[in-house]
Amino acid sequence: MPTKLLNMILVLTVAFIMSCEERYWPELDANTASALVVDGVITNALPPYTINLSRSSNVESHDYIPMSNYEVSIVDNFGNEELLNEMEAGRYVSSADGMQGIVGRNYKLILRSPDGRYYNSEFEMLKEPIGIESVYTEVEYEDSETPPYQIPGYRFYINTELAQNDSTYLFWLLDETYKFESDYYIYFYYDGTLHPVVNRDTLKNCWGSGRVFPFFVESTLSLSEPRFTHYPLHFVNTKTRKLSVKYSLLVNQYTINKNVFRFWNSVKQQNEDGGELYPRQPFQVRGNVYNVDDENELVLGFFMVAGVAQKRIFVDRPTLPVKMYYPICELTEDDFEAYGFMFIGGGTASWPLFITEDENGSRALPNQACIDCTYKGGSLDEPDFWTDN
Amino acid sequence: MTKFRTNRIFSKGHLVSLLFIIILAIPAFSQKNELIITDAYNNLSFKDFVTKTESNLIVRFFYNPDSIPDISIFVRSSPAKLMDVIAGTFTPLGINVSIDSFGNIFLTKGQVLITKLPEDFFMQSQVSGAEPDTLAVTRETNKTFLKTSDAYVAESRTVGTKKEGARSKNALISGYVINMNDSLPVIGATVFVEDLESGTSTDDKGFFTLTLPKGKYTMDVRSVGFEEMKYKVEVLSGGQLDFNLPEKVFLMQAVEIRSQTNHNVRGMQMGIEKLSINEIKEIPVVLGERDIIKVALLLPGVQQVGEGSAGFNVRGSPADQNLFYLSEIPVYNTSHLFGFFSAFNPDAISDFSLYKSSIPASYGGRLSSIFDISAKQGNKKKFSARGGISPITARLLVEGPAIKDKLNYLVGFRSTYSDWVLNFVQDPDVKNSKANFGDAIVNLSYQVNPKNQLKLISYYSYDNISLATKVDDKYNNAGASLSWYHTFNPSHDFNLSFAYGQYNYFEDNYEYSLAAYSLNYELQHYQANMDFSFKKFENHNITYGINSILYKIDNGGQLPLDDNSLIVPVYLGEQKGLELAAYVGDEWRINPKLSLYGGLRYNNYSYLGPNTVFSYADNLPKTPENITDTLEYSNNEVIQNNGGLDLRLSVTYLIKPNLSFKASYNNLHQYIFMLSNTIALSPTDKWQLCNNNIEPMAGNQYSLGAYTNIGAQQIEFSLEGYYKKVHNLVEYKDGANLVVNEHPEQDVLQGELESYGIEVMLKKPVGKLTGWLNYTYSKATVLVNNTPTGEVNNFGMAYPANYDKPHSLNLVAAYKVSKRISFSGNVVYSTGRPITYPTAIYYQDGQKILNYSLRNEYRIPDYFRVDLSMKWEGNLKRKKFLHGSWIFSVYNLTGRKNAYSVYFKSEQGQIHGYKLSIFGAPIFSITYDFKLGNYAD
Repeated sequence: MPTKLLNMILVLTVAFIMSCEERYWPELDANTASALVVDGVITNALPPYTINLSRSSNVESHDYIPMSNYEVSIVDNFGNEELLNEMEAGRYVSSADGMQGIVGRNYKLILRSPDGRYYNSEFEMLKEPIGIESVYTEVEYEDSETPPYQIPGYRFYINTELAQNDSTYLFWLLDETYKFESDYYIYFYYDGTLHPVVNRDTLKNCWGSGRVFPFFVESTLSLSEPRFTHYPLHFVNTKTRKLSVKYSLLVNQYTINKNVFRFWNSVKQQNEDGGELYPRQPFQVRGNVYNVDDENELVLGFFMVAGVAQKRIFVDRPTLPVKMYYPICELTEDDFEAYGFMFIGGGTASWPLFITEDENGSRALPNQACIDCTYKGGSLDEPDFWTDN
Repeated sequence: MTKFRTNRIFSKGHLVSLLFIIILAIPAFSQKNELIITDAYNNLSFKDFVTKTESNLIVRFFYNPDSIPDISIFVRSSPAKLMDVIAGTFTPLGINVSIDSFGNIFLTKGQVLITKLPEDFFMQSQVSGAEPDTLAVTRETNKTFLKTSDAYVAESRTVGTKKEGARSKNALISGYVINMNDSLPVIGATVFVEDLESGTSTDDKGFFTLTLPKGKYTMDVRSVGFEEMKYKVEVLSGGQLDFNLPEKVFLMQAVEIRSQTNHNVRGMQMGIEKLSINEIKEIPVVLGERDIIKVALLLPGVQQVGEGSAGFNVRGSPADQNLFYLSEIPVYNTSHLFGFFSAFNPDAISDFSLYKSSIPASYGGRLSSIFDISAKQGNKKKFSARGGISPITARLLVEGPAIKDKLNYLVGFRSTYSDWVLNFVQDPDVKNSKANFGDAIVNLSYQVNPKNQLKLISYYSYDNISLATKVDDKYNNAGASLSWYHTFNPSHDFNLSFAYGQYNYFEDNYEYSLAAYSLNYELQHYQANMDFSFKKFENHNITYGINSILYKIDNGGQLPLDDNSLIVPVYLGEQKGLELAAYVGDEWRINPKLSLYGGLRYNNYSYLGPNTVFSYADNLPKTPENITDTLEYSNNEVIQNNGGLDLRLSVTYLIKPNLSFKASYNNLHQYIFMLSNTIALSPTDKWQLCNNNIEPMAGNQYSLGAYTNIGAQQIEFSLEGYYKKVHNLVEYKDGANLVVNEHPEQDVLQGELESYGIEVMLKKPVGKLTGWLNYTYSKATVLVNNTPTGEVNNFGMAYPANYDKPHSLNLVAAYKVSKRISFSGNVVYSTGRPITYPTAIYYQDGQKILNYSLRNEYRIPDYFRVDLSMKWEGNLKRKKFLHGSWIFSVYNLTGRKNAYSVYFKSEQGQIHGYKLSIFGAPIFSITYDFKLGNYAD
């Protein structure tokens, strides 16, 4: 919350004293040795669990560099152990009928690199998960620098159940899925020759999905009772099609211990810090995994152990008076002309091209994003959990 | 007015022709010397006196009204000789009075009009009598440190009587150096005995003492902003000798830095910077707000984390190691609007001194510097007012005598009217923001009798800032001081003062109604000082005294703002501490070449109850798990007591009259620190007291310097090097949240600070072109490696301090084109400050995460700025009601987007790098200043 304050100070200064922010990339030492990165979580949910191993990469040209051929196993404080299988490069998965996380037990990760180095995590306690009472939305308006200056949208809120412990730490990862439509029906497609299309809505309905940024991490320490009520999550505005048909949010609520909290809270702080007048000193956030023989070796990432609760909600397209501000395609003269030019030139790389007709039967080659909902990453497969009711 | 026209204001050209006329007019007119006036002329202002005399007698006055003060003329006996009255009034002021055979009376300064030929003009062989009062123009100058380019007129003075002096060989003379214009004491003026090549300087009451063998001397009296005066003094025995110095009006420079209390070469002080407000008037600043702190940043060894940030860093020390006094009032928040402007109205300030090393024993409590600001005293003679308007603020100051020569006052206000500026901005966040600040100062000074003076100064400043209607901040500073100056006898005086300073802030944050909260904080500082100065022994200037400070801090808390808020109220408790000190210092002039200053200061600090504190297991990190005991203390019970002995030493050796070497050693202790882990000081930072879990800080500084003056134009050159070490520096654990922290000791790590550097300074204090050029090379590194507990910062490796800028160059120059127009400019360069950059990226739960370098391993781009300003004075008419001047200035002329910080943000899962500049474009401003009276008033 102080960060917000500081951003406002910045805003004030902008007007007041012509401060300015611009994109900048400093010269960084490219030779910094990359470090082993551990990314994985054990919960009380049903297995399988996944541990990802990779190497950190250069900031400017970052890649995901998986690390293969490690021996990866999970042990608990009762001596139970399970070896994970590398299903794909750097992705180690436990078996579906293997060890399941039990609340109150401690878990530890053991790694052995192909060249024989051993890495251990600390033992981490699996916390009793706090339940989610409800997740809901409210219409809110977001300031915008261009007209109409106030853009409506949905803010998601969460109410959690009451925790038993005053010092409860929660970490929320949000996954969104939304259904959206393209603007035109397909009458023909062209791949050198023109084909008529029977099912004109083939590419009309799509589902988009992804991880919501940022994540949220909180502690109940400063609250009068250990529960979050009306806690604001992310905001989805009406400038995109996300709310145009139906939107679904899956809230993964992890009840974490203090170590995990410290890690994610530090990461969050560093993401949010910056751009203000009073930034704190950034620092290296080290996780809970270390080289057994050389504690100075930098190992990044966290082996997270948490109790998990999930909740999925669906929200329909907002109704009036809430206005939608996403752009809608309209056929223009250019689109009709483009249909003609399509036969003369154009590369095969863009085939097939989809053609629509207006109410008078005139054919047009529109911007393909307006006719093919998969054009910008949508999927035609309805997710299992989806319901249109 | 009509009469006045006959009082020709002459120029140099006229003067020469006049000289011819006069010399040709040999016929004697000596009977005119017998012109007689009566007490009807008594107590007239000089102007009225002239008018009256000219209308009644056959005389005409010739003088330059800008250099001849309009003082009252007293006719003490009636009838009196006109020339005796005039000479009696003006000769002590260094003004020559002469009359020619036509009844023309000339009052001149710095130049004697010969109105008749010398007596021996036709008799070459006549034996000359007594030594002439007027010094020969071709004076031998190589012997003195004061290379003067002009001829000076000496006035003859006699101290004591032969009878009194019969018994002793030496004589103790003492007296005041007084500003001729307003009768106020001149602080830090030097009184130099040329024949002995030794001298002294006046103290804070303008008082000096000198012990010297009986005899005839030439004394040179000078001070910043005043005409240099020479006197022929015959010392017959001990006694009083006052000097009246006229203010330097014509030579007043935009930037005149003949600044140090003591002379660059000869003075005992090193590492001190003193500037008067007149000297910094035209230095271009942001938005035309004249600002002493921004000017201090142009001095060598003074750094700042970034533009617009509060506080500064002196010789590698953090900002909380500087102590600010405004005429004895401790000031804890020195800035407005989070650091963009300083909290001091420039009109109400007469000067400031910044002690960077060789801090006198009378000061303590901070390791790095003392920033001592002197508030202006009200004008004793007449009412006057001044003020100004800049794009940000409006100022008004009035001063004058309430009882003439007894009680005078000064009242100054400054306030912003910036709110309406914000209304012009389209951005809704800005439009709905409010920013208000202001300050006020009220000074009263009462001269009870010649031996007793009382001064009362009070100060208030506030900031009210409301950001986009979601966060409201209020900052207040208030303080007052009452001082009593008493002189026991010419060689012994004392000053008793009581001061109070208060700083508080309130913040209401209602961004999220569920978590709406308010924060508050208050610090109170009560101080009592008793300082004595004792000059009885020849060549010794002894100071001694007692200082005591009581700190009361209310750490406030975080409270829910209303019923909807779920914030748990957190009370952060109160703190109380008592700092007592006794000191003695001696400035000892061992011989004309060698001087020594030695000071001892004993500090005793107690952290007092009522309080509940934890004690932690030894040699283990201070974490909740390692708490061994919870201790309750009752009111004023001592929780922790620390004693510390400060040693201050400095030595000056004059190799040649214009070359000296100085060395000093300083040892200090500090018991209060700023709880802050932001890179620049943040508005929610809090001062905290050392306690049973946080050790007091101690610092040592060694410095060495060489000082010389080059050429007759007085270019001052100095080279100073220093090495400084601070123990128990307060640093913080990574990511500590200090805004609401019930147990700060759990987030504090104490370490060591090491800094060293070389400062080269070249000043040109006089001439049409004035200014300075300085270069500093410095390093400041911090090491936090707590061996017993295993707690470290930066993995136990030393790292550069946030404000470590190895190369720094400042050029400040002013050029006076004419009396009415002057230009001035700054060029500022420094290495970019250190920064911690991300060096690698990795993935965690689908998030891209940055891995940062070691602390402060990189640097932001170098800083470079050019500023320019032009001052345009109103007309030079002598009789006018109001004199105005305009200052047009451009800050950051080249518009360089200097980086304030570089940072990286994860946006929609992508990492973007940004550079933030505060003043990323040229900033133009116009400031209008006005005052009652004419240019010279």
